[in-house]
Amino acid sequence: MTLEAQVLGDNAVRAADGGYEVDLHLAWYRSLPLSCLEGIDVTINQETASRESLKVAVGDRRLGLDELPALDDEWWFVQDALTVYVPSSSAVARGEQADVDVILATRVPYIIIGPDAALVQRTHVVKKVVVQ
Amino acid sequence: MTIMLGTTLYSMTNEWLAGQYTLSGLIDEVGRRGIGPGVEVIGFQSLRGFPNKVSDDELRTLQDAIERNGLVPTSLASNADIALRKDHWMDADRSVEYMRPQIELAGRLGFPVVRTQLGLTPEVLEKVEPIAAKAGVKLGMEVHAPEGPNTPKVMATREAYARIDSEYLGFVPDFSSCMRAIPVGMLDKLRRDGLSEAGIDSLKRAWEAPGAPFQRYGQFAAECGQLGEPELPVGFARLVFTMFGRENLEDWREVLPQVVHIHGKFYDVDDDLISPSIDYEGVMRVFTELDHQVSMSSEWEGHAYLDADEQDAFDMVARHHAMCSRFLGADQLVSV
Repeated sequence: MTLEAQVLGDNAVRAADGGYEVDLHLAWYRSLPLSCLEGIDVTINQETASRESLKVAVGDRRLGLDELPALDDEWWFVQDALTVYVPSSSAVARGEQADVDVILATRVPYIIIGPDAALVQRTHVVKKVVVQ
Repeated sequence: MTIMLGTTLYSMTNEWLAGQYTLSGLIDEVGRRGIGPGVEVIGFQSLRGFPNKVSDDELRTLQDAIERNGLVPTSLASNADIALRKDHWMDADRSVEYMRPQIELAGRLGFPVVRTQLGLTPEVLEKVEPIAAKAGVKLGMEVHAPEGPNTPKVMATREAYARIDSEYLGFVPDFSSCMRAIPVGMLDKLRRDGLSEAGIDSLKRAWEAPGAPFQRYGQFAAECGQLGEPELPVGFARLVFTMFGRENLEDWREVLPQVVHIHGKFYDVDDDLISPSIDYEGVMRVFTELDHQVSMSSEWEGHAYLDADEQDAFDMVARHHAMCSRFLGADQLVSV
């Protein structure tokens, strides 16, 4: 799979209490710390989750995206999925299809493209999946 | 005898990301396919917890796999990562402390070279040199597209090296710096994403034009605006200007005495054992002038635009070995 095809697998979306759990993979060849995860935009069946509503699993904790910039020693290993909790008021049941649109933005901390700017790679994936 | 062939596990990025191999399984496959003896590892790709928290089991697994396959550790690729924190980039001292465990782990694992990146400033180089000397590891600054052996950033490093004057500081040439054509696979990917033939022609013209990479990309993007090309492939094509450099391959001679390892970057090798995008005959001719023995990792990067089921990375590396062996001649090849 190419790096962008890697982000969202066929079985990546699961039904969960009050919404979905979505497993994401990095669109990069190496591990990055969570401090480099700048943004996740998720839309499932035309319902866009707000940035504030998303939580990611870090060990036993569920953290909001704005809690990640300080985590420069919590690593997202490149073969692992990162589980994102996506609340939804109209989540479909297990076994049903869902249209998923994800934009994953990661800062590549060694590719410096300006005096105070590192490359931020935005990967956009649009996919129809069966909710697990 | 000057060059020892080998493989960087980076060539198998698609297979690795898809979880098709464990680390020991991947190294076994390199051994089974006979694409050693050298083996290069990217710390942040292959080792969980790199560099401070890799388990002893994981380290043993790596060493056992290299040993049982009769392979030779050549280079452990490090990263400088100065923008790890968005609001608080590393200063020189923090950079040194970030590099220290990466260099020390390379020493522990028996890698003779650590691949470094241009993010290391002269001040940091001066401070990490003693760490490398103590670990018995040479630091090889990778010279990669869009840089070349005598572009300003690399010249700054060459000047720092001249001042520090240490056998532990050297270079890792990456042949992405000196390409003669955009790989056909990349053009096909852009066509699949909707770039028209007029857009492809514009891309080739801009890539071949003189000037700084981002200016040339700007010319191409402006032309695409007039042509009404779709945004996605035009954005993706930025990579063409950063991944594929157009420096003169003869210029590698300027750094040959300081070469500590080589990245045999490649995208394509045809049935006649020619690489359409990189003049390997010319490049190998220059590197036969080396006066010391170095290792060269075959580094296939077609995974940037191809799926794993479109191309077998192990086959590509085997083909690259065949091509390089042909151009180097048997008397230039080091075996173990």
